[in-house]
Amino acid sequence: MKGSPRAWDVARIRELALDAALAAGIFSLVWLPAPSGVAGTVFAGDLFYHWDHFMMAQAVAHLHGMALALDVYAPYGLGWPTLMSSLSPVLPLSHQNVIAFCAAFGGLYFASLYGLFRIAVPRRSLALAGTFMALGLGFFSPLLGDDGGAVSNWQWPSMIFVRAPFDVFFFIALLVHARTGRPAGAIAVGILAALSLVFETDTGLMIVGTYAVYWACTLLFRGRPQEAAAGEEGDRATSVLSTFALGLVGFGLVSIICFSFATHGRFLSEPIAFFGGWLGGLTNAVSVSARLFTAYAAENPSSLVLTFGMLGICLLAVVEVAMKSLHRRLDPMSLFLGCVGLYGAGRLVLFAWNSEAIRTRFIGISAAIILVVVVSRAVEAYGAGLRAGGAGLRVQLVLVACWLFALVSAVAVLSSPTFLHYPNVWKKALLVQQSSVPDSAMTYLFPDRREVALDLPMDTRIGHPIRVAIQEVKALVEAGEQVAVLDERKTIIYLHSGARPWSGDAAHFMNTWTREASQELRERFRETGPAYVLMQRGAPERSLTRDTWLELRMSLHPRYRVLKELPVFDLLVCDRCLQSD
Amino acid sequence: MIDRFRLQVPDSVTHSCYFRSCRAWLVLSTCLGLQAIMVLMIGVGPLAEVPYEPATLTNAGRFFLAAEYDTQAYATGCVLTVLLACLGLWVWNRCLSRIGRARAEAVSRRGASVMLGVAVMNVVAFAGVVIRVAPGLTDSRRVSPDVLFALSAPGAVVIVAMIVVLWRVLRESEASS
Repeated sequence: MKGSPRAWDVARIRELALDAALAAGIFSLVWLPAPSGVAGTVFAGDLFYHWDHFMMAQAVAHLHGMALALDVYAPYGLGWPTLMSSLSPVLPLSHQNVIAFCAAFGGLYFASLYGLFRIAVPRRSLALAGTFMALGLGFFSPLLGDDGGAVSNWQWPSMIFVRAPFDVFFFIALLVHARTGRPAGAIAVGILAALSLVFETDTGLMIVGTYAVYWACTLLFRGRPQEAAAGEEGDRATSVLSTFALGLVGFGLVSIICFSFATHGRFLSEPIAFFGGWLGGLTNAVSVSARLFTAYAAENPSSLVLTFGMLGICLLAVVEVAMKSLHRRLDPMSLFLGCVGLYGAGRLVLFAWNSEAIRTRFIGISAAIILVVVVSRAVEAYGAGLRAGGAGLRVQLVLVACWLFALVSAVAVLSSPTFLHYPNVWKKALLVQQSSVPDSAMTYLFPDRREVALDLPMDTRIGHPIRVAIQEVKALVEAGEQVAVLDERKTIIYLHSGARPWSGDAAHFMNTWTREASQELRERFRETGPAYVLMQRGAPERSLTRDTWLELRMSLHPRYRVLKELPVFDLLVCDRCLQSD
Repeated sequence: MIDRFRLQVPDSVTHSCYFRSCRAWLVLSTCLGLQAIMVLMIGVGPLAEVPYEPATLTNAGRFFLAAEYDTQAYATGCVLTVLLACLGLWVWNRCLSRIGRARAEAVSRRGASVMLGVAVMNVVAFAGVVIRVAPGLTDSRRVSPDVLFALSAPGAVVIVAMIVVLWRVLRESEASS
């Protein structure tokens, strides 16, 4: 049977089944089976501040018909809010559901990364080593001085794969196209570049830059043998150009469709205003940084050295492409690695919220891809030399070394404190702890939906006032009234009360950086604010929103009166506004 | 136009030997580039001035707007690294082309070993300096000249040594030709 088509099929199916099982295993490392506990931890940490700023405020606004980038400031990107808002009929929009969705997406992302390695390197052992290395450097690594478990990974969505959701898929398509040159690959590359740009503007720009460099190198430097006849060279150039054009069409179509969805169709009628708002939102966030680079360097010198080492790997891949291009000897794999390196180095240039940008998280996956592919090439070349020389035992030793590499990478990740604190399907103890909700010490922020597990003191202090506020706002909304929530917890209140946000911008109120901006917000509220307002009763102590709270609260005083005192909040009403209505 | 920027493998050197030496240069130039990036980020980054009067900022603004040139310094450093690598390749290529067939292979081989060795020593020295010096940095906009000198020293030594060696190689090749 050996060598027959049937035997080949069985062997191939067995291989694919094994790869699928390994991909499922990788998926299970990232997926969160009990997201309520993680959502509770994030809520207790920052009241979903970062999720609101990253996508939730924009998603709520989009759900209420507002156009992203035109009506709503969306510095990170348009794709996630549009997707989560559009999915709301099947997956109700909530912080916990978004975290759960992103965790499932994360599983798929890293399983796809394993797929990328399987395409890029011939040995499964090295593919596994690369995947674990990428998991360790890009996800299960400490962040902001803690163990990086449930908190770091999910409290800062901009620090994980969610900020660059399509890069791995883009590189799979790029590798396939670089090797085969097929038009379908070019279209896939174009579509994925467009999706990357739509979902996250800054990392998307890096992908688009990589896409441009890839095509520039392909058109100018690749496969131009000196001895090729002029006619053949011309045919090849035409074929490459037409493939490039196809990719560009895919890129353009997907971008237009996504921009139209994000703006409820207004992109088509107001394209200039859209691009102004979209890219303007990005440039607004440039140089927003809580600390100087020197302060980060002082606290994390060894992490800095590690990150610079990875940057070195990425830059080496780029200069290798430069060298081969100068000598007109550019091969598909080197071009692919150069693109990965360029993107990796580019990812450290963060436009939006570039605070402490030099982080292993952003560059780790690119460095792991380059390193493992280079190791694989060296192993194959060395193995071929040994086989030619008839050194069977040493060939076996090389194979053992590859598996050892995979084992060491896996052990390093699976024994890391970050991984040990991560509540995935393999952590029964952590899951039992979370599934015990509600018990005597725990409850849910939203008991009817079993969402956001909190401990009782936290629930009494923060959960209960928010629930009461939601109830009051919901009652007014059901009576046909509009309510503005002028508080840093506005998104969760708008979301669960069903109120249309007065301003869908997370940036307003939460990140009003100048007194002038605070005054503009006050004036804007005076002109367009609704008759009802929900606001914290006392000035927030030690909060970044204190100045803006004072500005707004003082300006409300003559027109608005307290209608109802709720726990923590005041519900205010403007009688004159109601009469004029 | 694009064909003007094209390098030919010198006839006097075998391909494998030539590209090995080129790669050694790429490693060394990347090490130097990384050092330039870090020195720029630490030395030049904090020189940026916050474009607002402190009195005009809210407390959120005072917390978040720590303006610095770190992004610009980083991007400039990356571009410089690639340019340095390309320029070095061109110089190395010219250098090997000038050397006589008898010596080119040996120079190329020895050059590769020396460049790799220097790169390793340089990177170890630089990492050591960073780990030693970085904890002393503060959240301040003025970095002391001593720190900048310590961070620049490993790279500066390599650059000076490299220029001297290249000059000698070229002089010898001219003398022999």
